[in-house]
Amino acid sequence: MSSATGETPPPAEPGGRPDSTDTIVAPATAAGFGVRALVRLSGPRARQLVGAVLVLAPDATCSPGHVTDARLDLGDGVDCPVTLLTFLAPRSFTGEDVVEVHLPGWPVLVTELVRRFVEAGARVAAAGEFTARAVVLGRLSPDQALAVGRLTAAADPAEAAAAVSLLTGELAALHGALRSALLDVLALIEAHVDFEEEDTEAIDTRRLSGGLARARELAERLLSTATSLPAHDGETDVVLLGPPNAGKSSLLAALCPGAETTISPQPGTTRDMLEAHVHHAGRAYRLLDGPGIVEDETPLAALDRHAARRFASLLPVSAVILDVEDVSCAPAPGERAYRAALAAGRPVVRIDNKVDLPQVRATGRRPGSLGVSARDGTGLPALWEALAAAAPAPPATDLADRTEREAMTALLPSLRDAEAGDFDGALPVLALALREAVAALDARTDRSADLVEEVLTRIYATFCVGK
Amino acid sequence: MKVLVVGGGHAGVEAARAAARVGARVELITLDPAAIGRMSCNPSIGGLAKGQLAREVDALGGLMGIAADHAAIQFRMLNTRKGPAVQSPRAQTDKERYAAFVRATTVGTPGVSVRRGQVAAILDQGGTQAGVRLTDGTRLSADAIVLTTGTFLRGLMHVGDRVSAGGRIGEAPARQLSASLRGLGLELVRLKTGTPPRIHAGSVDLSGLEQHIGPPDDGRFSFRTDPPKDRPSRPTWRTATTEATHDVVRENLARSPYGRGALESTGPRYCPSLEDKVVRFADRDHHRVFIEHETTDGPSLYLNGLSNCLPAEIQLEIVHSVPGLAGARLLRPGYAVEYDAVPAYQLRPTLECRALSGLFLAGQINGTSGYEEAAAQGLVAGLNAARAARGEDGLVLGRHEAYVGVLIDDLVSCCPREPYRMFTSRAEYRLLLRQDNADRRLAERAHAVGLLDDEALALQHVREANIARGIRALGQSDAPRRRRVAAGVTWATLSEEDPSLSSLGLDSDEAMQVELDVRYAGYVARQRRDVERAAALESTPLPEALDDTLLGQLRLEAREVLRRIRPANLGQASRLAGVTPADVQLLALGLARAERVRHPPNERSAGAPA
Repeated sequence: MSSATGETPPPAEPGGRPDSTDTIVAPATAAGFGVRALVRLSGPRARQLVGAVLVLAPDATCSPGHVTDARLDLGDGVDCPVTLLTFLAPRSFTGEDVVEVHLPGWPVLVTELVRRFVEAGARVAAAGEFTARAVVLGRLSPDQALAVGRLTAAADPAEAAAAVSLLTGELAALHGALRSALLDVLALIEAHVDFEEEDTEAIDTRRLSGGLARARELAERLLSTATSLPAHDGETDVVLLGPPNAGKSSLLAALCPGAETTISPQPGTTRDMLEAHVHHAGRAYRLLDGPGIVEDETPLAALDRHAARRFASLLPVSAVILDVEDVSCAPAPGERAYRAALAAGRPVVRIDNKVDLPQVRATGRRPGSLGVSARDGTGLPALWEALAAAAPAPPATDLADRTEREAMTALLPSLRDAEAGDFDGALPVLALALREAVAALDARTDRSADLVEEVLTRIYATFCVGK
Repeated sequence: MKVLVVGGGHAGVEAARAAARVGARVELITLDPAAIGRMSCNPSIGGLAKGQLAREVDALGGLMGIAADHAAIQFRMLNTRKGPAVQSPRAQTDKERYAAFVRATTVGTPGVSVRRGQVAAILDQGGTQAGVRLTDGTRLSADAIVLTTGTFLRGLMHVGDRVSAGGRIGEAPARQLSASLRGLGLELVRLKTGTPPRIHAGSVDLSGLEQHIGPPDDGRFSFRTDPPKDRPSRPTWRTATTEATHDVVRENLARSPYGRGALESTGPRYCPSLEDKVVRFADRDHHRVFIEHETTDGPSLYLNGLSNCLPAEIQLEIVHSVPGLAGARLLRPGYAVEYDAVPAYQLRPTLECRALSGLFLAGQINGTSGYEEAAAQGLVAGLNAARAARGEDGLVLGRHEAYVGVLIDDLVSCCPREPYRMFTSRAEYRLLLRQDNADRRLAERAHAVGLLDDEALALQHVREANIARGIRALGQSDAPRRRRVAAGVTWATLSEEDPSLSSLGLDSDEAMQVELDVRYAGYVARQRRDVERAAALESTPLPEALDDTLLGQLRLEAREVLRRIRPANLGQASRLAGVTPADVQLLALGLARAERVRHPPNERSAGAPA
């Protein structure tokens, strides 16, 4: 394995026919497994790919209902223990052969494992493809699936509560109101197009402008409600780097008060890996306590060095580095250079920790560093500001799913144009955008829609059509 | 190879001619040969969405467009301000000239013979049709049968409290055939339609009414022939009901079969009776009425908008309360007719009965309404009957190819609650399915099945080449000239500026196609992408018998709908009311799994950890 830049094929187009002849792979958050991560494979080649990518004991079998131990070879004679759970078609989550690979919850390991499966022939699942299949099998309603996704990404109880309320009440209400508003406009247009033979008859503009405004407002709300609920993948990764004595763990705790930090004691990856999720000033962060360096020759240190090297090669490009030192003592030789190399190309925030201590090292604070005390909270606001400034803007995360977002984004300009004025000639085009928007909502809520009949029923109920 | 066509209406004549066109010997059985091609209701062809159908029938070699051009007394393009995708041609026609032309052309079609008679039964020999038995006992055998019974299956007419058996005024119903169809295992439903009163032109003074005369243009339906020169032109007039009209209706509701609840069937919501309008839209102080000539010089005027089935004397009172119609003399009262139909979910997309192979149904028997809808089905059923007789696959047009495809796909996918009428909103790809490009969309398909000859196809190719040259001459998509056309500048304007364009010699139709192709390129490309996306579903066939291994995991409602409608492919399944997107995904996975069981991929055995 030479680099982490293996090309992954583009995910399948959602909405098309699910192609169950290929095998898909994707990381999944393992609810209930604490520090572990979960990579799931589904498809006819699932078991074959496991055999190709992982090392199984000679007598180990991937049999359903059994827990199988295996190893992921990381090179340099180091490997990572993983656990396999196998489900055979059709008695599985997706109805196909499914293998779940449980591994230590270090993101770079997950990325690497997925990359290797892709290299061996798997396809990265489209967003929600597994969940879609769970929905297909009736395990989850689409909105429940969404709720699960949001809840697992929720970083604090208040947000989880908000997610629940949004999904059970507000989203359903918003979906219903928006769908109804879209159909109202559509019915008005179709009545004009399909029943008004005389070109002299103008469309009911008062009614239309009211309907357009309402549809637009609701569509905008569906798009904008999104940002209040950052999803897991909207997080900015923040990696704490520094020697073991720099106070990274207490800094992590100070930055994430009350949040549960998880300790990952898995040998073979890194040691005492801490991970915490936190929201601050509307942004979502995942803080990772990176591996320290211990300059001795014990086997444990070798493992650490290996982990650090892996870390260096797989560190997310977008991660922000918190370069932490203990300002009360001098750094070990070579350590700063090592961290600088590791951080190369990434935004770095320098932290001189423990400023509350009376003694300060002879060289004093590093230039440009922030003086912080994890113990008494000195400098933490400045640290957050620096983090927010250094972090790349997180990708927008939406309440609307991808199909909905696309449909609404295509619809809104048409609605605004129609509101703005002359639209007669554009009516069929506006109608098309409205239909696609309704179809997107229906796909999301798994609704069987006889759209034409619904529109006609509205027309007949509202207008005295026909000669 | 012999095909029997039962019925000589708009479906029957197209069926007979299409079957004969591809080489079948056709016997057309009708109750009354003099009534072949009769327009039973309104004196017009085309209209919104129907105009598209009429154009497609023409592009597929049908008769309707040519006949309408021949008989037109007013030709208009509707919806001209709403974009080309929803424009539709409509012609007011002389009903007598129309029917006479259709009759003469059909009788004169090589291979078509006409027999007066009434079919009593369809004969069944082990699930395949074995001809028909007439009411006089005669048995006729055939290689395929097309049934186009219109409103005649147990037809029952209502005028006020008078109920009489009949398919149309003065024409007897078909009494026995329904029982024969039930005996084949077909489900029948009862549908209703109505027609307004006719009055004598000499009895009214219309001079005070708003008049409409179509432009004296050379508008036409047929792509293939030129309309006759010096067509006569007749106006239509516009008036409206009054509160007095509504009072008469309200006072006499109890005397209408609607008011009494005497009709066992449901009428079309898009064509409500006057009783319906007055009751349901009580706040309206008027409803529009159009007065249309039924023939060029005859006395009969059609009162479009006054469809009702009150007693004749009340109808007269109603007519008299309408401005401009004070002294009107009734030629014929309006009436409602109830008839048997066979819900078309019992048909394959070729319009062949599942219950009896070789039997094809078309027109109102399939639950539709309208001349154009009937003609379109008749043409497809006649063609497919002839093809089936030769052991060939039937023609099935896609929803992205033609309104005809939308029509038939809709019909075989639902159980009608009212007679089905085409609307442009039924076509999800309506930006592709324009009335102006029906010939471009269908020429290849029509030629492939023998409906269009080599010469016609060659002409079409020339046309396509001219259009393509025109578009090329405008330059790349971002070229200034092309952008001007996209913004609405016409080919004619550009040609005046640039002789190199006029030297291409495009005719006006070709120039219009260039303009529309350029102007709508973006939307058309978008719809094409939608079509491609849907293609995977459309091309995944579902087995004829949907068993529990496939349906087991679906919701109950979806299972019931799928068992009843039996969609031909996943695309059709996805459009059924009661089937959700998840149901479709589950079906797709089930199919793929079944496929794997039948043809296990090699990789399954190669190297997987056991």
